[in-house]
Amino acid sequence: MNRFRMKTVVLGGLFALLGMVLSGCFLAPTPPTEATLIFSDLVGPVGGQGEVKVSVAKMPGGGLAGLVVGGESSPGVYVGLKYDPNQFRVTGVELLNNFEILAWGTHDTHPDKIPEGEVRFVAINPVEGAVDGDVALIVGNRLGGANFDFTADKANLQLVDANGASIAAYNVSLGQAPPYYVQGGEQ
Amino acid sequence: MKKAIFGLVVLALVVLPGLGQLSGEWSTTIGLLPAPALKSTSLTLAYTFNSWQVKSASDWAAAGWVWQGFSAQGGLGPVTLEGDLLFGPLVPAFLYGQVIAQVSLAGVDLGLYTAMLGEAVGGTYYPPGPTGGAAVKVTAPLGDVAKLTASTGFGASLPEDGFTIHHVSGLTKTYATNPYPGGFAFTYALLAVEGLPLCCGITFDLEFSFLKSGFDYIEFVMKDAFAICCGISFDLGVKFTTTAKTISVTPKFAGFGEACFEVYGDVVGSGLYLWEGIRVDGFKIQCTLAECNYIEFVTTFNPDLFYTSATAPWSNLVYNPTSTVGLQKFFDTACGEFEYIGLGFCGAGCCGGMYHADLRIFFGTNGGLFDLTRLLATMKVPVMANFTFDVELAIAAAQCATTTLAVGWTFTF
Repeated sequence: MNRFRMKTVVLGGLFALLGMVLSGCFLAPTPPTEATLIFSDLVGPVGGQGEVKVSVAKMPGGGLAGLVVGGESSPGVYVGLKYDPNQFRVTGVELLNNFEILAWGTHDTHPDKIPEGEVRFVAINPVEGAVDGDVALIVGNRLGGANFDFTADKANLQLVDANGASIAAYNVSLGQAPPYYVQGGEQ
Repeated sequence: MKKAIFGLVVLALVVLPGLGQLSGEWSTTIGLLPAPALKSTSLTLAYTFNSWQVKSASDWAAAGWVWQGFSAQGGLGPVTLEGDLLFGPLVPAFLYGQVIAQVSLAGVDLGLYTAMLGEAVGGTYYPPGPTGGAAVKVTAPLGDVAKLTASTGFGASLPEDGFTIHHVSGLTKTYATNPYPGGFAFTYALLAVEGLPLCCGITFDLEFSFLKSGFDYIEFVMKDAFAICCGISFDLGVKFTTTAKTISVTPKFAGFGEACFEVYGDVVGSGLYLWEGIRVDGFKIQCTLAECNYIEFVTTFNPDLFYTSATAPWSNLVYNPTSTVGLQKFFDTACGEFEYIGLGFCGAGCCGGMYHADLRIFFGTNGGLFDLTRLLATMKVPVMANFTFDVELAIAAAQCATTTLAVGWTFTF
């Protein structure tokens, strides 16, 4: 019995030591503290389907209820989310959660109005606002494995909260197309 | 150059195996149709000393050197330790690290899992950046047949299917520990009891999951319930979540193997609590005739909801996944495919090995004779004791499909 206790104590000590050594690895990315519109990294294999998730964090006014990507920044000037058309070809924008996609377009759907390497869409949530959560999924064909930056100008984005008021103070986080990726990350 | 390659081959095949402590595996897949191309090749070297094994695994694709992994596994007294490191030579960058410590005390297995993900790994999560956490898992017997499993995560979890890191080439690496969301904070608790005996040969499984945000789900599964006759019985399952209840019935036929009838469907509703009906998207009948010998019939009414691996189209069917990353449509939409018949068989091969073969015949509205669209076949045939030959073949039976052929081998030493 004493031997068993001694073994238990030694093992407990070993685990505690291991835990202390590994405690330096308990890293957590800093969560957003301000309202943020997020375009994730592009994920998916070359030759297969690629996805970019659109989500929000810390949205004010009861949450995001409407999003326009490609709004009119100045008379007649519309620019949406831009990407490298040699690496990614958008084929659709799909709803997530309770959001509805009212309209979306790319060069393939509107060749005379939208240049290559750009997607525009309008998403609304008629039920409630989303303070944190996913809004839409931009899907397409991943044509190449090279990394590139997604770009979007805040002047061409319009965010509306659950009360119908425009959201002006927010950050935009734009992803890339990294060669190594994981899915999700939620738990 | 030729002398150097010859020297390496001699070293790998003759000298190093002679040391008796070095072993390894070399596997390669080459696409021949529609165009010749290297699909992947990997080299694993393992060195064993005392109770430890140190391993190096290198993988290449057409894009170049994709993965370089190192691992070590061994014992330290009663504690079993395992460590993994993964690097991405293409960036180059550290990608993932994992340490697992396990100990068995009086029949109780205790495991500590810690992992860390490097910032070079992207994804659809937010915020980005390196992340790391830990999880503890305890497994203990309950009586003679039942088993209790309890696990708790502190910034990490232990997914049933593992944690997979992808490369754009389609190559993947899977590990036990998911280091999300990171940090030393409570993430989840899972309690599962398996094989609790009720009566008359019926056993009972229970699983309770609790997340940091609150209750997740509770699931009850009754095994071998309602034995009718002739070895026919059913597994009944009920799963309660915060928004839904799922009931599953699985018939089992003892005596000539196991036949499984599976229905692919979902609840149709409006709002959170209003059910309007059940949508059936397809069904599968699979009869397992013997070990790795089976026949299956799959018919779908909504083929767009069925997926498979983007890099291995002959792998298993995935119904309505939450994410289609790394997947492709199982059925060829250009061919209007909606149905297939699958066959699997194995047998004694060369040198004490077993050959395995899987065959799938697809049917679609744009097919040719008998609505046939394509035929997928994959074979693993042992040629020598340490050499296995692989074939992956897709034959187009209609103009909408494409014929592809890939061959490969696995050489162990």
